[in-house]
Amino acid sequence: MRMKFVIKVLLSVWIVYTIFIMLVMPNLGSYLGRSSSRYITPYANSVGLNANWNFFSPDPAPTMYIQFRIHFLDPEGYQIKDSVDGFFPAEKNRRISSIFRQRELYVMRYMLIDPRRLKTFMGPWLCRQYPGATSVEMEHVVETIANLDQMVVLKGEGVESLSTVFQNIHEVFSCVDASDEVSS
Amino acid sequence: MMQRLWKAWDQFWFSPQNLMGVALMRIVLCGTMFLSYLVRQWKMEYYSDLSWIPRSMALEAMGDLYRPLFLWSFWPDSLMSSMHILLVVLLGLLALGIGGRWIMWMAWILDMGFIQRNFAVNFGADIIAALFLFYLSFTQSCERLSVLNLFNNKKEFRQSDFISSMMIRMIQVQISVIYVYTGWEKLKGASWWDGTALWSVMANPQMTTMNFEFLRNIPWVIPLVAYMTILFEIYFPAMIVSKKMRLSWLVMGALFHLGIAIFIGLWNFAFVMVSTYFLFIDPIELRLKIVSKWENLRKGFRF
Repeated sequence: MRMKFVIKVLLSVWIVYTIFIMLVMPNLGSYLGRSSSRYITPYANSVGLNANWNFFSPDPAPTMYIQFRIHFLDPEGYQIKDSVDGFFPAEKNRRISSIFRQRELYVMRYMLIDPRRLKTFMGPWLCRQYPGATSVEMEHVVETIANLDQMVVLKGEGVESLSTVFQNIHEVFSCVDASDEVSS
Repeated sequence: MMQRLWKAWDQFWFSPQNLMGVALMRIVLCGTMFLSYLVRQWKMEYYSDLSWIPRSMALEAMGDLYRPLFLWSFWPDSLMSSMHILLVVLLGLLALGIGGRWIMWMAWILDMGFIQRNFAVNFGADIIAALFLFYLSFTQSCERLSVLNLFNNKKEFRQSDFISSMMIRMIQVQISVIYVYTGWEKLKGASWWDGTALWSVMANPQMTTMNFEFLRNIPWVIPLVAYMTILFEIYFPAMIVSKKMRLSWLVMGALFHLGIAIFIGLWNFAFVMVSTYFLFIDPIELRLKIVSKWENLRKGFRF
């Protein structure tokens, strides 16, 4: 009986600790989060409590994708093969219909949340996809969604025709020597 | 005073509960994960050095503040396919009610291994499902609605032990926190205040299952659903505590997730979230309600 009570007390400590993590982890940038992070993150990150619950928020993301160009140059800088243009995901601004590849939309968003990831992960991956490539240019392309007011008034226009396209980030990755990589 | 407080705390967290809800949750959660990961089996290159994230950078990929102490994927990449088959089999067995805490712990460790090995390919539903599986793995989730009970002709069922009860409560708290946070986050967004956020989703061809441009002809629906979404999410914990409002809120939640599943194609997410709803329903009370409604209906038809 006493043993059960002791276990319940220990479990109660765990309950309080876990609920504290549940409440603080999604807002780790707050004062409470910053000051308690070293006590909570090792555990939270190991058991999967390290998530932000921001589905479609603060605002839903616009249509976006990665546009890339693969270059094939000789050491003197002359083109030895036509460059290859492409998009990631390959569907560009369309839905990925294959259930086997739907995770690629999440990969694209993961890469674009922090532009450094384009160089660290996406660039080397693209180099591997195109053997002989010397460098990769990558751009984050955003297609804005025409706002509702416009769509209501301009009945004859489609969403796509009222959308604006702009490039957000431009990165260049060298496939020959990763230390040579440059960005603009 | 302290004794009274402890008694209330003990009652809330540790008192025995009917295990039917947790069994229903197990079926929906593990069944969803089983199907989702069965599909993933055809993309095992995601979990090799051929993917975007090589093994040597798996931890680095997770960002400084969100980096775990170690990788749960203790097996080499060459065994990824075999370990994934094992995960799918374990989830299938658990959905059928074969297994128990040890099997579920194994499934959770394998699942975390895959989540951490390539953090970039995770759906939101994978993360939430893993979290719920973690809590569920401490419960007697296979006590009821197990195929083994059919073979053993089991008629008498235990109530939950105090650890299961505690974890059932933790899942209830966790789902409430998820809803509240996502509601609060929406309040930070100008388009949610403006009421047009859902238009940004429905008009985004990357996100939707079909063309929803026709919504421009009934534009008032968009802010209405957007504001209802925020109200549903923020007030979820309060309404779920209220016995009067609980069932209505759960029905609203089920419809809300059904909408997300049909229009945005997030079926996994819908099932994972709704799986927790069974923990808010008293199976005996629900049965009585359904039976009495059915009886009333029958009487109505008779006259």
